[in-house]
Amino acid sequence: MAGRKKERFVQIKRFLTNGKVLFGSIVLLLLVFTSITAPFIAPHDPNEQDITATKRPPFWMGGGDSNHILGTDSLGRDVFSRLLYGSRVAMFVAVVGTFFAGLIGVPLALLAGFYRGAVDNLISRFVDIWISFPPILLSIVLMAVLGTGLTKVALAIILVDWTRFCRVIRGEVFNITEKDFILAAKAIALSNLRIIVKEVFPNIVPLLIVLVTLEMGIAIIVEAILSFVGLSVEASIPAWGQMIALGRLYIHQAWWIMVFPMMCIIISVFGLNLLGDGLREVLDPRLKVIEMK
Amino acid sequence: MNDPLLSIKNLKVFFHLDIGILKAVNGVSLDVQKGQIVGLVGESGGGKSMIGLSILRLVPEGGKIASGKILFEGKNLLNLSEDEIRIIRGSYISMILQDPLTSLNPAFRIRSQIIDVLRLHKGYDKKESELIAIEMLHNVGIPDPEKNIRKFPHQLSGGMRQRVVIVIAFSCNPKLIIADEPTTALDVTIQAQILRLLKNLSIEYQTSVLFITHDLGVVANLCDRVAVIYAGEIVEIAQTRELFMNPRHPYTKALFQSIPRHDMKQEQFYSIEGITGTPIDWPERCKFYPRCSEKLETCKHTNFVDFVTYSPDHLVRCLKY
Amino acid sequence: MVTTLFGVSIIAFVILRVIPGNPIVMMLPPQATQQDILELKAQYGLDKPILVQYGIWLMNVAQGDFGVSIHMKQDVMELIMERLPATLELVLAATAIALILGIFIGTLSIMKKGTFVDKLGSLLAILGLSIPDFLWGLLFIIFLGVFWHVLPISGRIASTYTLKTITGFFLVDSLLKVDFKGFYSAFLHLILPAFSLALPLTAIVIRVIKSSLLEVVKEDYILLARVKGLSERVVIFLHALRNALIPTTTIVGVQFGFMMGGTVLVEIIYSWPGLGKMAVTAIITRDLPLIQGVVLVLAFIFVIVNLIVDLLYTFMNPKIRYG
Repeated sequence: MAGRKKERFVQIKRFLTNGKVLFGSIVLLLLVFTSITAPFIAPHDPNEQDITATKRPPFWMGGGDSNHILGTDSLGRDVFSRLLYGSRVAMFVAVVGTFFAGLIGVPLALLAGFYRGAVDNLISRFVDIWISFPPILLSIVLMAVLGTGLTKVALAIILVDWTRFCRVIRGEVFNITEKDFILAAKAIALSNLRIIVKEVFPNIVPLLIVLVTLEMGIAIIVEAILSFVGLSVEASIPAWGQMIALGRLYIHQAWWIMVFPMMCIIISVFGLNLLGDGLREVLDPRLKVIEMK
Repeated sequence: MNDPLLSIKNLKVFFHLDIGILKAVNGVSLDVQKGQIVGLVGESGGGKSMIGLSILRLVPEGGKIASGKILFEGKNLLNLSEDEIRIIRGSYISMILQDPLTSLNPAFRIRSQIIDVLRLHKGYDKKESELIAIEMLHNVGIPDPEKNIRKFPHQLSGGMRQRVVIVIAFSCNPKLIIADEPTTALDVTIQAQILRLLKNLSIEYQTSVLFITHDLGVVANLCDRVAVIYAGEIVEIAQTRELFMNPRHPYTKALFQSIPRHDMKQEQFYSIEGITGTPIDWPERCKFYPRCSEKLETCKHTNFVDFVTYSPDHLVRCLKY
Repeated sequence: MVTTLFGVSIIAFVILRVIPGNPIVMMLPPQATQQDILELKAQYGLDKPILVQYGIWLMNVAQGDFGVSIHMKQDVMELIMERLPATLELVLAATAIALILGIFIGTLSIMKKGTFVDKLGSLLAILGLSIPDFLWGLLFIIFLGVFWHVLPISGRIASTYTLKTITGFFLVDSLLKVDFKGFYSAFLHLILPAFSLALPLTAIVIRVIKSSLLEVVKEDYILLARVKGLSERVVIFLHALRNALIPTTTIVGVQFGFMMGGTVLVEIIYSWPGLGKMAVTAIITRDLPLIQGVVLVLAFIFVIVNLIVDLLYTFMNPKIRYG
């Protein structure tokens, strides 16, 4: 049908011309790229210490050299290489954390929104209680329980933020299941599971995609927060949050140690949020605003 | 004949969408004389509301008044500045919207919603405005106006709310009122009351009314002249009596036929074949052609159908005449 | 509400006792014998089974006794009350800033849709969301504290001051004592930390205001307001905003509750003597009674705030208020 094809074409056109989507996608691709190729393109070993070259400034400042284009930290480690390797932690935390948080939150949301009644009450209550626990403190407590380490950080993120997936998706499922085509599906006695998978789920995918981008940004931030409190990845793994926490001590003499990882985090999260925003505009201009909880 | 109070000349309102150009109003010309009640009849989506909004320059986002003139007392409203048109709104030209529940702000009491117009255009102070408002509420038949004026919209019934909206419209003694389906959202029993009220008020205040509706039955008692609109174009216009006795355009005829009468049997119910559709990128020939039961071969190929004077003061846009 | 409190306290209780790391061991010198450990354990009641411990704690809490901090050796309630006003003052200031800035920018953005102001507002909104409070804090510290010495970056008030506190809210206390110099100092110290917390919330407010206004502006009563000839400013700021504020206050209220538990990093960065900082130290030192106390108090505040938000909603929505 000519109408259908035209619709598709218009959709794709919108997708490619949306500035936010473009910028955000570039950031995301850059992140993926650096996280994969870090071991190959980093000029130095990120953990290689050089006591003779500590706190060297970036190459454009006096005292800097092109060997360490963004300078070195208090132990003489190359900042640039550490930033590159840090993107691996960021991506790991973002991808793994988001994926599993969604894995927990989305099915629960689907169940709650579809079956409603007692099931919804139970799940919602559970989520409410979980949310009442101040999230930062909760993640800190979890890290204290689980111990430090990269996988533990991801785990903490999953445990703290699955509720966001659950809440937002549940709201959307409620909206969808009020529509007539669900009633129609029920009327022809499709099994509930089939309805959920085939009718409900495809309709929450746009919102889900947007939520994923948001969540990835949050995961990166949480890692930074945990690093600040000293409860993040092992010291041998360079992570942006960790670099900030360490760099903070030298804010007066060597501001670059802290500022560059800050920029990395800001650009990454900004790009991801922009991507999510743009996707929301493209995929469904009628989508409601996602509330940040 | 005197100069008409309102004269719309070849108005075109377009919406530029992703999928094409929507010609909501495609060359409409219409006159309203002083003290006259003119009906504008057509199906939903036919462009009638857009005409009303264009007069007040309140075309929604995405739409543009592409060309044409709207002359009010000789002045072209489309050329006025934003400040100038705001003076006209509410005082010289006013509007009644369809659903009284949604046209009143739920967060404010009735009182403030009536007196703000009075204070804005007439400069009365709070006390004076309130007295005037109470009296007007009384005139339209709202019981116990002193009490009711303090209420919130949701605390009043549908009929009462619409009376409040009518009060707001008439409060500054406008020369023209645009009534956009004012009774559609009301109970049938209330409809008649509101229509009668509207007619009485317009006679009393010497106010012209542009009455927009999809319901031919409503038009019969109320309007002096009726224009029929289809897909953004006026297809027939005549005095009410003449139109009802002698509908000429196939669409008008079909409209009359589809009004169910109490003495009709089930099989006699008639509905017009096909659906209106949205005029996006339609060819410039007669828009009713796809659904017309009286179409001629020439209808398919003729690009521009002009008005034909069927009889004095009765214009039809159809190739059959 | 009560179940929430129970739930939270139970979660805290259980998790804490599962934590590796023994507060008792931390307190004693390395040469301590098994005997010493057992004694100390008994002293703090940690030798009893979990359920009993919980029961005892619950009973005490009902009487207002939150126990004694293992690490700081002070009454938990006292410690909390010392720090709570600092955090409250910070969060209240941040919320106020966020509301004022956010509503103003959001509304202006809608009025001048598509123009420079609108794009700026959107940019600010996304930036605010992308940059977490502590990063804002660090940015402020670098640019306004280190590079240019514009504002103070540490503590609640200049160290040369000793403010005799009545309410614990420095701004209020200094005014009560007609101590304008003190007020000024406290005010300056409050600016950067409050703004750091406020900006992410501002972004949220801008978003919510914009989306609510967009919805409201489609309504018929806004059209009628325009039909009446009211100026755009009146239409938006009076008619539209009034209705758009309803969902806004709900969301801001909830965020306020979240913020109370989320001041940790900002407090650390600015050396702000609040609850968050104390809580983190407590967690690291496994100071069980203190952690439980703080968690419970924060959850309690969160629940109360939610209640107030519900009440506010009822109050602001005439349909509910006047039936």
